[in-house]
Amino acid sequence: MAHRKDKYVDHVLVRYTPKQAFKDALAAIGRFFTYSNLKHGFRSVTGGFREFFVFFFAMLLVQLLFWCPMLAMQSREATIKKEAYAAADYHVKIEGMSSSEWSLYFNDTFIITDTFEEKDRLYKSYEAKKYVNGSGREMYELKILMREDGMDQSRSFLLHYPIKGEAVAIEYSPRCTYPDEVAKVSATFVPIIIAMGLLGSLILLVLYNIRINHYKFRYGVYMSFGADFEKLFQTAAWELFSIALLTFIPSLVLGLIIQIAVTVSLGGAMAFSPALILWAVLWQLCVILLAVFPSVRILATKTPTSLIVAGDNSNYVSSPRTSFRIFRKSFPMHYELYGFWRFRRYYATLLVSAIVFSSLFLCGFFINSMVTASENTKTAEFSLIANSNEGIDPLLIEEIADLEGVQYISWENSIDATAINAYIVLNNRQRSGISSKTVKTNGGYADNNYKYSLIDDTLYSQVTREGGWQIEGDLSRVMNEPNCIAVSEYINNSRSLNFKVGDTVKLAVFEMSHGSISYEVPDNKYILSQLLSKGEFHFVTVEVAAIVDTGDNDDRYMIAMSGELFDSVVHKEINAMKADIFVSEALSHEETELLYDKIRSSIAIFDAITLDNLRSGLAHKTAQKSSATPAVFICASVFLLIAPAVWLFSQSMFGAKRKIENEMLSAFGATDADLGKLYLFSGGVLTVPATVATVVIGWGVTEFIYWLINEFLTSLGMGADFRYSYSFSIVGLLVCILVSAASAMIATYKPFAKWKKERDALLRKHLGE
Amino acid sequence: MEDRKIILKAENVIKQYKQYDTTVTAVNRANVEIYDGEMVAIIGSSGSGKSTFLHICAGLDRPNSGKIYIRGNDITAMTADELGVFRGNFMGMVFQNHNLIPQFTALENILIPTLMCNKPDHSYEEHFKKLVATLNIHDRLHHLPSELSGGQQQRVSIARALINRPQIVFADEPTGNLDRANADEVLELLIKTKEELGQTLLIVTHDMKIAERADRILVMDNGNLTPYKKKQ
Repeated sequence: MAHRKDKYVDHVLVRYTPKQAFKDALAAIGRFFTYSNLKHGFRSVTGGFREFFVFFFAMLLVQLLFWCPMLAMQSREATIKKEAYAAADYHVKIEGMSSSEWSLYFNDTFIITDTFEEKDRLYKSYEAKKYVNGSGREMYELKILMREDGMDQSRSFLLHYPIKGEAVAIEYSPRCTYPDEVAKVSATFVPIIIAMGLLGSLILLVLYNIRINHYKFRYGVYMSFGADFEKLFQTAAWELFSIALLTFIPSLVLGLIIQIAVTVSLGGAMAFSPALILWAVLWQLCVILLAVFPSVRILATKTPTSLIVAGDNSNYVSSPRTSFRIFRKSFPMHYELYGFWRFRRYYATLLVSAIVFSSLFLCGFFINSMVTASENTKTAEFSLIANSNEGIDPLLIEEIADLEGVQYISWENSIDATAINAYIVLNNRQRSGISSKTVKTNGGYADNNYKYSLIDDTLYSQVTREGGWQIEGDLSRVMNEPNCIAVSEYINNSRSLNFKVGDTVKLAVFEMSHGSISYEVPDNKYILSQLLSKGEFHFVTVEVAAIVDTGDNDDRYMIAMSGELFDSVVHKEINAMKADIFVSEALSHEETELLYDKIRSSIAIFDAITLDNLRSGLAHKTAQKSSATPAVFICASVFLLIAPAVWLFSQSMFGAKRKIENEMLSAFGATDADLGKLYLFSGGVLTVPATVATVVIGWGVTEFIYWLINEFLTSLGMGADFRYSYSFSIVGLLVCILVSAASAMIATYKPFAKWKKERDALLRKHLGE
Repeated sequence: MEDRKIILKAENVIKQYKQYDTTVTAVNRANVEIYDGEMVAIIGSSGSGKSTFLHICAGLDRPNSGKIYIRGNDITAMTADELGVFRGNFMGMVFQNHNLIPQFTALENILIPTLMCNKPDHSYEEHFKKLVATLNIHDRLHHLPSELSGGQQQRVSIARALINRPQIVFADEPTGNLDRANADEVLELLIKTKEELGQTLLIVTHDMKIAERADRILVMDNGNLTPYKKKQ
C-alpha cells in the first residue's frame, strides 16, 4: 500500500512523515483524555438520560460480562488456596530416610538452622516422624512448612540442604503446588474474559450503530460545523465511558452479590482484589473504544449533506413510484408492506442485530453443558507409567485395584488400525457420521479410523466398576465368546458411528502387499485406498456384543476384543504402558495421601514403573466448590436480555419518526383502529422473520461454536479431554423465539400507543379537561 | 476588484445524481471566483442546482468532478476529517430549513461549532454576547427550536453559523421561510455581521430583492453558472 505523503496540518498541505504521524497520534491521545471530554460526556448522558437509557441498561449487563467470569476466577483461585491449605499443613514431605540418613540430615540441617533466628531460616517449622516400612525397616519422615508459599521456596530450601538416600522420596504438597493450579485457572479464564470483552463490544457496537442511524441528522449538523472523526469518536467514546462510570458501582455490587450467593451455596471461598477495579476500568475502556470505532469511522466518511437528508425516515414520504400504488391498495396491509420493502435494509439489520444475541444465549446453553461436563468429569488421581517396553504387569494392576479406596483402574492395550494395515467393513448405517472418510469396497465401506483394544479379565473387571465405561449390550460376551467385539462410537466428542448390538462386521487382516504402500501423507483415507488396491487380506466376521462409551475425547473410535481374537487380528504383543488409577470420591486428602503411600510401596520392587500423583481429586473438589456454571448462565442471560433492548431501542426511535405519518394518515381519514391495526400488522409480520432468523442464526452459531471447539481447536491440539456432545437446547430455542416474537410485537406497537397517549393528553389539555 | 484576494474558486464543478435509471445533472461545469469580503448572490429557479452548488462550495457535499479552492486549498482533495476541521474553522453555514437540533436549546444549538472545534469558553464569550444582542435572541436562548418562531429559528441558525467567526459564510435561502419583514431583518443582520467581521458571504436565494443587495449576482440555470444580466 502506498504511503500517504501529504496531509493538511493546520490547514496547510505538508509532507507527512511517520514521525509526524506518531506525534499526531500521541497528541490525539492527549486530546482524548481531557477533563473537558469527561465533562461533556457526563453532561450529554445525564442531560439526555432518556435518549441513553438503553445504554445504561446495556452497560450494566456488559459490565456483568466482566464481573461474573472475573469474580468466578478469583473465587476459584481462592478456593484452590483454601483447599490446598486444608489439605496439607506442610510444603515438602521427605520420607524414606534410613536412621543414618536421618541423623546426618537432621544434625546438619535442623540442629544448625534451629539456632538461627526465625527470620533467618528458610522454613517456618518442621515435623519429624519415625515409621516402619513394608519390609520392617525403621524409616523417618520429615514435613517442612516454609516461610512462604510456592515451589520456588521449597526448591531453594532443598538446594540449600540437599538430601541423599536410596529410598528417599520428596513430595511437594498442594500448599506448594497450588500456585501452578491458580496459574492454570487464570490461563483458562483470561481468554474467556477477552472473549466477553469482544462480545461486550459487539453489544455496544450494535446499539451505537442504531443510535447513529437514527441520529444521522444530528451528526450531519455536527459535521457541518467542524466535527471530524476524532471529535465524533471522542464524543461517542466519552458518552459511553461516562455511562460506564455511572453503572460501575451498581454492576460491581450486583456481580459481588451474585458471586457471594454462588460461592456460599457451593462452599467455596470468596475473594475480591482491589486491583480488579483497575482491570475493570481498563477492560471497559478497551470494550468502548472497540465498540464505537467502526460505526464512527464509517460515519465520518459520509458527507454532512447525505446525513442531513437521510435524517427523515417517515414512511409517508415513500418514493413517488410507489406512493400512488399505496393509496390504491388496501390499507393498512399493502401500505405497511410497502413500508417494509422501503426500509428493508433497516429491518434486516435490526433482525440480525437483535437475533445474534438470542443466538449467543443458545450458545450459552451449549457452553454451559460443556462446563458442567468438565466439572463433573472424574479424572485419575494417580498414574502408573511404564518406562520400559515390558509395560505394566497385570498382577500389579490387580494388586493396586484391590487396595481400599481405589475405585477402578483404566488402561489401554491398543494399537492403531493403520499401524497394522487393517481396516473394518461397515455398512451405510454404521458409517453414518464418517462417510467422507470411508472408501467403498466389496460388501460395504472400508474404514481405518479406529484402534484395536485388548480387553482382558483385569480391564473388564475395572471398566465395569462404578464410574467406568457406559455399556450397552453385554461386555462379558466379548470375554467369553470368540468372535464378539465391543465398539465405541465417538470421534472427537461427536457420535460418528451408528452400531447396534447384534450387528456383524468384517475385520480385514493384512496378509501381504503387491506393491509399496506410502505412509508419507498422514491421511488415513489415502493409506486405505492404497491398501485396498495393493493389499491382500483375509476377513474375520465378528458380532458387536456391546457398545461402550469410555468417556474419553479421542480422535479414533475403539474396537475392543478378547486376547484370543486380538492375537488373531493384530498379531502383535501389546503391553499397557500407562494405567490411570481412579479413587473413591469419599476419600479425604489425608486418606488419598495414605493410599498414595501404599501404592508407592506396591511398586517399590518394579524399577521401571513410576507413579504420578495428579491430585485431581483436590482439583475436582475445588472445581465443584467454585463452579463456573452460574457465571456462564448469567453471561448467556445477559445476551438474551440484550435482544429485547435492541428491539425496543431501535423500534422506539423508528416509531418516533412516524408521528407525522400517523397525523397525516389521521388527517386523511385513518381511524385509531386503522392505525392500531397497522402497527399490530407490522409487529405481526416482523415476528415471522424474527422466528425464522432465531432458528437459523441460533442453529448456525451453535454449530459454529461446536465446530470451533470440537474440530478446530482439537486439530490444533487444544481440545478438551472429556466427553461432551453437541447440544442445541430446544427449551433455549423456545425461550429465544418467545422473546424475539414478543419483542418484535411490543417494540413495534409501543410507539403507536405512546403517540396515541400523547395526542389524547394534548387533546384533553386543549379541551380544558 | 481583481486586485483583491480570491477566497473561493470553483473550477468545472459537476454534480450528478442517479435517480432510478436516469442521471440528473444538478451542477454542470460551474466556474466562479469569489473575492475576500465580497457578497455574492446566486439566484435561479427551484431545482436549478444552486443549493447543491452551495453545499459543494461549503464542503458539505462532494462533486463528481471539478475542484473547489478555498484560501488556496483544494477542499475536494481533502479527506473527510481534514475537511471537517477546515469547515469548522473557516466556514459558516446557514441552512434553508435552519437544521437546528430539535432536542437542543437555542443556546446549545448556537454553541455546537465551538464544541466541535474545541474552542475554549473564553475565546467566544464576548462574541457570543454580541451576536445574541445583535440577533435579539437573548430571551429565547433556553427554548427548544419547537418553541421558537421561524424568524427566531433562523436567527439562532445565523448565530450558530457565525459563532466561530468564519471567513466565509454560506447561506442557503436564509429568508426562504420568512415573511417580508423578517426576511429583511435577517438579511440586514447577515450584512451587518459580514461588514463587522470582514467576512465573505455567498448567498443562494430566489428573492431578487435580496440578491440585489449583493456585490455580484450569479444565475444558476440547469446547473450552469452565469453572471446576471439585468433585463433592459
